Amino acid sequence: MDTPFKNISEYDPELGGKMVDSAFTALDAIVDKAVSEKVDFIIFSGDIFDIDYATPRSRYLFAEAIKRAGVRCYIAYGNHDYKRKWEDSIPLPPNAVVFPEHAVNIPYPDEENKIADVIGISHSVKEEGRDLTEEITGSTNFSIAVVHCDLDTVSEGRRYAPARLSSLMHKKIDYWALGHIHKRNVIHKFPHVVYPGNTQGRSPRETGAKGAYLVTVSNGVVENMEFFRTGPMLWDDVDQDITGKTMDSLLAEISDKAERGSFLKLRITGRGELDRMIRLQRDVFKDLVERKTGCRVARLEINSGSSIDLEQRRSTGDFTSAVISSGDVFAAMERDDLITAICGTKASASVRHIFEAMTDDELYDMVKDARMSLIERLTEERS
Amino acid sequence: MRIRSIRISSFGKYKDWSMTDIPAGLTLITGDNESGKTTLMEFMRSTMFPTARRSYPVPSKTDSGSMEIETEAGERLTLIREQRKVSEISGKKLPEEMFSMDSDTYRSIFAMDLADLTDANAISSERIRNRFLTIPGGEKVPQVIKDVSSSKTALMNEERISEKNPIGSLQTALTELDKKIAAARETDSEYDGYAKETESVTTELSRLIKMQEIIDRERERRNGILAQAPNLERLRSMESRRIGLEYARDLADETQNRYGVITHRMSTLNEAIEDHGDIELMDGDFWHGLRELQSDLRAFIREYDQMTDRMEELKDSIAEDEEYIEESRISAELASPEKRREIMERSKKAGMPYVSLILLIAGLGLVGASFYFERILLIAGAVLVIIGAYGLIKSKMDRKFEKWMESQGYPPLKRDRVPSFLMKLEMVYEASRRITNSGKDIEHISQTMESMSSRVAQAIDYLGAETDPRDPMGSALDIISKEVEAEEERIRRHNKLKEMTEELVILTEEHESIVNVYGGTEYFVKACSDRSELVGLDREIRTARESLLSSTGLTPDEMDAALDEDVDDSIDMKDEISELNKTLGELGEKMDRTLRDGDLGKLQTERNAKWAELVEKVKEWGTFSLEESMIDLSCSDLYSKMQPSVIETANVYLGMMTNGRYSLDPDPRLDEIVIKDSVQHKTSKQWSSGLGDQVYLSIKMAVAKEMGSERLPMILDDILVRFDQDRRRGACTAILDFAKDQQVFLFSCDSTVENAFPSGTVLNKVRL
Repeated sequence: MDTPFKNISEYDPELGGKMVDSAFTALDAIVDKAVSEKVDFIIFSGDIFDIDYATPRSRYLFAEAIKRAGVRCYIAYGNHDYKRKWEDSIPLPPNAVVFPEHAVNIPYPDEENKIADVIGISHSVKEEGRDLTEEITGSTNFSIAVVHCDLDTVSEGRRYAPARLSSLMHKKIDYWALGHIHKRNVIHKFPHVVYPGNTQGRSPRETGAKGAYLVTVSNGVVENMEFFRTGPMLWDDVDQDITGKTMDSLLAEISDKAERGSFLKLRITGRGELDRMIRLQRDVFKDLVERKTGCRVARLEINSGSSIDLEQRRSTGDFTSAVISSGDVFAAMERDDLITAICGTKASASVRHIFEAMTDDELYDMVKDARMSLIERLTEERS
Repeated sequence: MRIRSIRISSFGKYKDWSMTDIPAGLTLITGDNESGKTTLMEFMRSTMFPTARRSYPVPSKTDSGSMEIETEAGERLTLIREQRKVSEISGKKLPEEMFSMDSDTYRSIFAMDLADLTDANAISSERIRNRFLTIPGGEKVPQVIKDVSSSKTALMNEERISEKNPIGSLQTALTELDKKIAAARETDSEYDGYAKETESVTTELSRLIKMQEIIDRERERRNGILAQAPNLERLRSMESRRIGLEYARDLADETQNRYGVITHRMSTLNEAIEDHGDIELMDGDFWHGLRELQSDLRAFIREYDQMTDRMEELKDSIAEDEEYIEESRISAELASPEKRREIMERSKKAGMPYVSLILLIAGLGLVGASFYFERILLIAGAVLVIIGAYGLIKSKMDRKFEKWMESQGYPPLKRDRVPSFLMKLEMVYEASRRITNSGKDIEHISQTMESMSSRVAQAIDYLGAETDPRDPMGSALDIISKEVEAEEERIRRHNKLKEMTEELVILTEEHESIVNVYGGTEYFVKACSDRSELVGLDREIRTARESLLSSTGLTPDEMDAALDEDVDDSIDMKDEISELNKTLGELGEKMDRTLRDGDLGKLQTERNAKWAELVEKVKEWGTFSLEESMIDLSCSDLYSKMQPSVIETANVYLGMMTNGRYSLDPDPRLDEIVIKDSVQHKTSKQWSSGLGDQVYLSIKMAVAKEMGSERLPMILDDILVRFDQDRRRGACTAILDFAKDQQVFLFSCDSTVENAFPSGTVLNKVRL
C-alpha cells in the first residue's frame, strides 16, 4: 500500500489520486468480500507495506480495514515490510494476529475449539536468507501455512526466503498461503500451494486482473477457490503487428485486443509504412490509440521496421546505406562508449546517469530506434 | 550546344546587327559602357530562354531577330524571335523544352550579369542542390539535421539546462518533488513524534485542567463566600440579638403551653362556677333508700304480674300433686329415696328360674344322648343338669321378697315389677317434695308484696306526695323516679361545681408558681415573647448557618477566616491550557492531515510518473542524439569517399581562381555553401564580394558543366569587375578551361581583360 505506480510517463493529478488510492480500494474490496461472505479469517502473506514508501496513512487505513473486517486477520510480513513504522502510534486492532520471526501456530479459533492450525512466520531482515518453510510443520488438523517466500519453480529474480516446492509437499500442510510473487499462480493442489499475486498491478509488467482468493474448506478439504478481482486499475499488454495494415485497421485491432480503460503497454512489431508515422509522430499515435481504445498508453515500444529492406539498401552506396552502416557502428559500441557518444555535451552530463541506469536492451534499442527514425526521415518524401 | 550566329533585326540599340560563325569555346566581347554589351547579352539569353521578366532594354514591338544554334549531335536550330516570342524555324524543340529549365535558373547559371552571379538562390534551390551538390540520398540531410536538432534542442538545450525544455522542466520538477517528498517523509517520520508529543501534551493538559478546576473551584468557593458575606453579617447580628434573649431559653414550651392552658381554664372555670350558683341536696340515707326503693319498686312492678301468676301456678301444682299422692295410695314416707334403694337391693337378690330350667333340660338331653353317642356327652349333660338344678333352687328366694314388701306397707309385688314400681315411688316422692316447695314459694311471694307496700308507703309519705289509688305502685314509682332524677341532676351539678372549684384552686396555685419565677405575670408574658423570638432566631440562625454551609461549605467561623484570607486571584492556567489545546489541535491536524492526505503516495506516484516521463524524454533525446551522431558519422564517411562531381569541378575552378587556396566544403550536413582553406571554413557571410563572385562562378560553371548532355553556352556579363588581378587571371584561366568543351561568351567593359588570359591564348574577340 502506497507503493507508487511505475512507468506511467504522463502524470495526471486526478488519475494519480486514483492510482494512489487503488491499493486501498483493493483492500476495501477484500474486506467487503470477507464481510459479505462471512469468512472465518483473512490471511495477508506479506508485503502489505513497503518500508521505502509506507506512510502513516497506509498503516492507518490498513488498521481501519482490519477493524472493519471484524474477523481474525493473520499477517506474516515479507521482505518489503520486514521492518515497519508507526506500530506504536498506529497499532493494529486486536483481531490482527501478526506472526513473529519464528514460526508459531495460532489455531483458529483457539486451542480448545480449533478447526484449523494456522502456522506463520515473518521476515526478520530485508534480505531474508533463511528457508522459512523449514520451520513450518502442520498437524492432523487442517493446516495452513502463511509465509512470504520465493519458490524455486517460480522465482523471478533475487531470491528472498528461498524455498523448494518439493519440500512443501511433506510438511502436513493443506494450504500454503504464499506471498512475494506478484503474479497469481496456483502452483499445486492437494496440498494447495498458492500465490494469489498482488491486489493491484503497479507497473506495465503486472498485467491482468489482480485480486485475492476466497477459499472454502469443508471437512478438512479445500472445496473451492474463488478468485475475485480487487485492483480497480488494470494493466494490459498488447503486441501489434503493423505489416500490411492501414492506420484504421491497426487501431481497430489494438482496440479489439486492449481491455478498455486499462493502462496499456503497447508493443509495435512488423514492417510497413506505418512504422514511419508511429516512429516520427509517436505522440500523435499514442493519442490516436488512447482515443480509440479508451486506454492510457503507459508504455509504447516501437519494435517495428520500415518497409525498406535494410540489407538490400545497405549496398546502394547512397546516404541511407551510410546511415545503415553508421547504425552498425553504434550498435557495436561498448556500453560506456555508446553513452559517451550520446552524452557528448556538458549539459547532457546531467542526464548521463539515466542512460547509465538503462539496461543494455533499452540502450541498444535506442540505437535501432535512431537508425530506423533516421532512415524514415531521409526517405520520407521518396516513399 | 553552341551558338553559331546571332542576327538582330531590332532590339534595343541594335538594328540589323549580326555576328556569325561564332566558334565553340570562348568569345570575348568587349566594349565601352553603353556600347550594347548588356543589350546583346539580353537578346541572347531571352532568345534562348524567353522570359516576361526582362526590363532591359525596354521591350518593343519591333523586337526581332534570330539565333542559330547547334546541338552536341550536330543538329542546327534556328530560333526566330518576334518580340518576346521565340520559335524554331522548322518547329524543332526549343532549348527550354530540351532542358526542362525555367528562364530564372538559366539566367542564374548560364547567362548572368554580376547581379545574377551572386544570386545564390539557383544553386540553393532544392532542385539544383539535390541534383548537383549532394550525394545520392543525402538531399534531406540538412533538413533532417534541422528537424532532429530542433527536436533534440526542444527537449533539452545543450547549451544551458532550461526549464523551458521538457527535460530541464522535468528535472526541476523532480528536484521540487524530491524536496516535497523529503518534506512529506519528514512529516510522516514525525508522526510517531506527534503521537508521543500528543500524549505528553495531553498528560500536561490534563494536569493543568485539573489545576484549573481546583483554581476555578477555589475561585467559585471564594466568590460564594463573598456573596454570602451579607448573610454572614446578618447571622452575626442575629446571634448578637440572641444573646440578649438567652434568659428566656429555659422557658419551656410546655410551661408556656401550660400557662396558656391554665389561664384559659381558669377563666372558663370562673365563668362556669358563677353560672352554677348554690345547690341543696337530699339527706344521704334517704337518697340512698330512695334509689334502692326505686329499683326494687321497678322490679316489683315488673314482676308483680308474674308473682301473682306464680302463686296461682303453685297452688294448682300443689293440688295436682296432692291428688296424685292420694291416688297412688302410697305415703310420701314410703317413697323416700332410702326406701327405694332398699327395694332395689332386695329385688336384685331374686334369681331367674327359666334359664336354670332350660339348662336342666339340655343337660338331661345330653345325658340321654350319651348312651347312643359319645361318653363325653354324658359329662356335659351332667354339668348342665347340675347348673339347672341350682337355678331352680334359687328361684324360691322371690317369695321372700314379696313377703318383705307387704310387711313394709307396700302392695304385693313380683320381682319383675320392681323397676316400674320404683319409678312410681319416685314420682310420688317428687310430688310430695313439690308440694312442700310450692308452699314455701307462695309464702315468700306474699311476704315480698307486703314488704314493698310498706316501703312505698313510707317513701311517699316522706316525700309528702300521694299515690293514685287506682295504681298505687305505678304512681308511686313515677313519683319516686322523678325525685330520683331530680336529685341525680342536683348531685351531678353539685359535683361538677365542686370539681371546678377544686380545679380552680389548683390552677391558681400552678399559675402563681409559673409566673412568680419571672417576677409576675407581666414579666412572664414578656419572657414568653422573648422566648418566641429566641426560638425564631434559633431557627433563622440555624437556617442561615445551613445556607452558608451549603453555599460555601464553610461554617461561619471558617467563613470569617476565609474572608480574612489574603488570596492571590492572578493564578490562572487558562492561557497555558489554551496554548496546549492549540498545540494539541495543531498536532491533531498534522496527524489527521498525515493520515488523510496521502501526500507522500501522490508525490511518489507523481515522481515516478515524472521520472518515467523524464526517462522517456531523455531516451527520446538520446535517440535524437544518436540520429545526429549517425548523420555525422555517415557524412564523415561519405565526406571523404563520395563527393558530387559538381563539387569536384567547382573546386577545380575555385582553385584556379584563388590560386588553390580555397575549396568547397562538400559536407552534406551543410545547408549553405561553405568554403574552406587549410585553416578555416567560411560561410557566405565571411566572404568578400570578390571571393563570393569567385565561389559562385566556380559553382555555376561546375553546375553548367554537369547539367545534362547538352551543354548550354555560358554568357557572362562583366562578372570579373570585382576580381583582383590575380583572381581575374585565375578566373580567366578557369573560364578558358571551361570553354574547352562548352561555349562561353564573356562580356567585358574592360578591354584589358584579354590580358588576364594565359599568354598565347587565342581568343575569338568581338569589339562592340
